[in-house]
Amino acid sequence: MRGDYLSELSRAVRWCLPPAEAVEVLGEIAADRAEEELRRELGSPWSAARQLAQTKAYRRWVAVFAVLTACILLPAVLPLLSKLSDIVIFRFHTYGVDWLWWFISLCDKVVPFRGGLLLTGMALALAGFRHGSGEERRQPLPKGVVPLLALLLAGMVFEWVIAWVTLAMIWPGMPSEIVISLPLAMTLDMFSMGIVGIFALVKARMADRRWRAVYILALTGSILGLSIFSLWTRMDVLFSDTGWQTPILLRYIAITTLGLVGMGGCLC
Amino acid sequence: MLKRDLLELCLLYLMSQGDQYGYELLRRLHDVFPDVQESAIYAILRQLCREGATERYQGEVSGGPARKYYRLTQAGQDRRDTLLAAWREMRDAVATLGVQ
Repeated sequence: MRGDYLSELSRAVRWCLPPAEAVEVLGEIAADRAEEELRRELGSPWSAARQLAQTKAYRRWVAVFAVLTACILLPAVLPLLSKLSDIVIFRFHTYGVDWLWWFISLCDKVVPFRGGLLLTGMALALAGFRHGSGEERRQPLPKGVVPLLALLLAGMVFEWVIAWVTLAMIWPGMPSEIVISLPLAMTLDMFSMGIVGIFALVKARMADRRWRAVYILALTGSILGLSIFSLWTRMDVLFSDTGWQTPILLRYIAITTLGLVGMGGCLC
Repeated sequence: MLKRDLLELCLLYLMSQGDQYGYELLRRLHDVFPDVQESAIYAILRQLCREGATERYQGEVSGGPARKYYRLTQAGQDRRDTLLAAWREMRDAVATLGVQ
């Protein structure tokens, strides 16, 4: 029970306070005290943590978290909603599901802002987290960071395969089942990246700021996926023009490079 | 004068009697104001520290974890005097009404 209360208090304090302060506060108020005493004197862990946090700093953190969440969730979730709506509309159009067009148009509206979402997310992730105790860099990477980075890289390789299938015009010769399922698989890939990104964001606040590397790579994967997804769905590309692939390819390379550099920066 | 100011005054007053470590301050104040949660008192203590009214230092101990002690700064003494004057003024004002 003591473990339960202390874990909850630790989680609450680490969420509400910057890392160095959280360690200090926990050491000072919770060390060597019985579970019952802590429960009685401090009350609910979350209300105690909120009391201990500086209101301004806490609000600033919540705002940063909200913006970072929006930056990753918009490109990660909207394509999946759009794709699912697309499927449902054409299969069940007689049942009055036309309102689902809204999701499709919303996804289209977000696409032009993908560069802004990537840059905002990266800049905030790099600048919005304070240094911890200063010991972090000397410690080994937190458990879970490397496997998740590897998974995200695999997801991005998959996106690059789809980009290659599109840009090299391989898809017209592929079976239609595969052509139809590729974008859906990619939207699921992006959705998973969004979930991993949010998880990494929470871990970066509560455990080790190097988790930001996972967030940045997940964000990059989502934005790259959104760009490729928009190429599949938009109608303004003239595939007959010579060299139409070059600007698109350069954009994908720029997004990937930016993400990898940001990820590396967070790990150093 | 709000209850928060009163708690602040008590903390500063306790520290002016000598350096004390955090938990001891929390305990003494919580014994007097049992309806106030320790986390609220500790938040005030940290606020005072941030504002420069108090400063912390690592106490020397023989065995066991090192304790952080709090001591009053000059700014803290000024703050304590201001709050003390406000408290006395309020107490006297209330007394003129016959409130004991």
